Amino acid sequence: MIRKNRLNRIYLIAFFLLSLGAITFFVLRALENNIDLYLTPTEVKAQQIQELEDFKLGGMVKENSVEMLEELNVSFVVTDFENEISVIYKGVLPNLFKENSGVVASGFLEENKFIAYEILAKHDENYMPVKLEVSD
Amino acid sequence: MGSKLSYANFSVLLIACAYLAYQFLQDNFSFIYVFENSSNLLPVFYKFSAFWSAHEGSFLLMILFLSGSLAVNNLLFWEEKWIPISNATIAFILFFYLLFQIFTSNPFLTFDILPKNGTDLNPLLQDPLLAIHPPVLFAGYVFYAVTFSLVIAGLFRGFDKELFKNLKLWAGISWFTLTLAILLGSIWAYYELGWGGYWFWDPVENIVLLPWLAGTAFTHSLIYSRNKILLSWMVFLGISTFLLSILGSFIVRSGILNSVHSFASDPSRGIFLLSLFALFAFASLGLFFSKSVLLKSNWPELISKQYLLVLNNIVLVVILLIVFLGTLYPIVTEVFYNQKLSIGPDYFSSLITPLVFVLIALFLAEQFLGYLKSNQRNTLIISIIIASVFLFLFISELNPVTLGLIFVALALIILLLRALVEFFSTKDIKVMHKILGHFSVVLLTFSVLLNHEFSETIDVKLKPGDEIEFSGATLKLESINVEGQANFDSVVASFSVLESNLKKTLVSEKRVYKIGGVITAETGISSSLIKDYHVVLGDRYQDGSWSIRYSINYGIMMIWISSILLLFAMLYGTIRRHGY
Repeated sequence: MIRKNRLNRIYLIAFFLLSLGAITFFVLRALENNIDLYLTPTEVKAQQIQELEDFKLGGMVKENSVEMLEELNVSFVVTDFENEISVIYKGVLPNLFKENSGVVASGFLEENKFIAYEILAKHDENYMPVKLEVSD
Repeated sequence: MGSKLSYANFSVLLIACAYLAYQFLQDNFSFIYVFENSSNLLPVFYKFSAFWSAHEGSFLLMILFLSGSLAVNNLLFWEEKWIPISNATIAFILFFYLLFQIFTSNPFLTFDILPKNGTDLNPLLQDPLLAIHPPVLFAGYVFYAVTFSLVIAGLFRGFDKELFKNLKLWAGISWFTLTLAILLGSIWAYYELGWGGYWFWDPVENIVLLPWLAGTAFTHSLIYSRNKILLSWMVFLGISTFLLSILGSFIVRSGILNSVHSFASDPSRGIFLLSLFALFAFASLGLFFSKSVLLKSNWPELISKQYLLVLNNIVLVVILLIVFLGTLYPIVTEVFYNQKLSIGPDYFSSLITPLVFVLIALFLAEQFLGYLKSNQRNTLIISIIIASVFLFLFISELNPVTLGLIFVALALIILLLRALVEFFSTKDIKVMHKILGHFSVVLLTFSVLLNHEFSETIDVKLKPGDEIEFSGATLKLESINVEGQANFDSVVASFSVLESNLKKTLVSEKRVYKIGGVITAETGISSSLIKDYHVVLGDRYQDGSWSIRYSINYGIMMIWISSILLLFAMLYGTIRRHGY
């Protein structure tokens, strides 16, 4: 009887260790496949390359830079007030997207232009200009 | 004496809250908090809900709820043995929360002048669903704090029958509330955010999922807590759920998150909450480990309900750790290595989906436990064969999602048949809440997979009168009109969808809020059981045409229905347990 229990225990421990190993492997793999770098225009420029694979570009939408092009293409400029990168996106822009507001774009860099395939507009806590009127 | 103090505490807090609410309703913009979150054009309902729209007020509401729960506990359970320690624990928590509120998040600060108007409530929050979501969420967190206090009481005084009974009651209420809060958030996201999704693995969403997962494992561990191993699990999970809910508060309110919706960033708040978290963590986990020497344990017998419960807990904890890692890893790398990363949603779904299948397999095993027990060898052989078949199919070119759908559909049918057989042979279903609960989880999984696999989206450019054919239906932009409301102006676009002679209408708007000029879009949705037509108005072009995002989302109604069934099962299970 005691031997049987012991054997069962060993199987159990082996099974759990194996599962642990398997889970760690899958988790690391999932991380590797799904981590994107998040860069600001300055950081992109610092890389000093014309092309860069999938990453997320974050910054503010530059004032007066949004331009509706043919079909559903739209171009705008992302700036961090030190450097800027122009972005081209084909599709409908999300509600929160507007000039002078935060934006995160997923895509890749090609010939110094950022081609976005997904746009996320960031929700700033202080998204409105503060207007104060003093009452006497 | 203690109970009177708790009533007094609640009364005073209630007065404070009423006072703040009154300032909102009176448009008293000399209060900074009112100024930042309201305006004189805001409808009354939202002036009231603005109370909990930002950090200071929402935290005050949470404190009010906690104080209220303390009072209710004393009102209903004053005679119980566990009340003194439970009271002490909650009082301890309240004390530190109040310190935090007073010193870092005072909603009663004022200007020296009286502004004529405020900067308006965030338009995203001017929605009934989102107005209700935060209070329900805070209630969930608060209820888990109460549950935690009962667990602590048990650690000191031992877990007797009475304590278990009340623990199950509070655990059930907490679980129900937190699940409801998550559901409300998802419903809001789908109907209001305009992206056609209900869950984005956004850090703020994940942060609520963590206590929910721990809470689920916790509730299940209460079932067989006579077993020492499950008792240890139960205590550990009860503590963890509470700690995770504080961690959630810290992360959301400290500004460390870069997510679509996060509260103000203020380092002093973050540090305070982190210290609070550390304090509670050390105290409770320290207590747990020192007392657990007394909980000597043996592994439950193989293939027994207790064993399946332990497996269930392990899987849930693994899912929890995966979500935890995926949510905190970017934060850690940003804070310590100054490198910003973002982790895509596929990380979560690719890892968690197989684990959900394992959970579903556990549901099935639980239903046929008797058979499995008496045919152990056959069971092992059959499960190895089935696992190999699925593995083989998975490795082959077959779409894994389709495979998953088949598996889940089979599980659904098996569970349904089993329940029907039991019902017709014994005229009754034992443990109805368990059957219904598990069934709705499987149905939910099925609907989610369906939605993920078959939904489609396109972006188009249309002028009034234009129409396009997509996925077997014709979408037509009927008209565009301009309207004005109390605090916003809007462009209203009317659409029609024609599919095999059935015509549905959809309306999408783009609103400009008069104060601050914020622009939001209202989605147009037409739902049926199997699919939703979903349309979002985009931007206007020079030639008068508009960009439009058009989606066909499958299984959305089924997702809501299965979630509501789950909530019903939770509620029924909680009430039934106590013969009320």
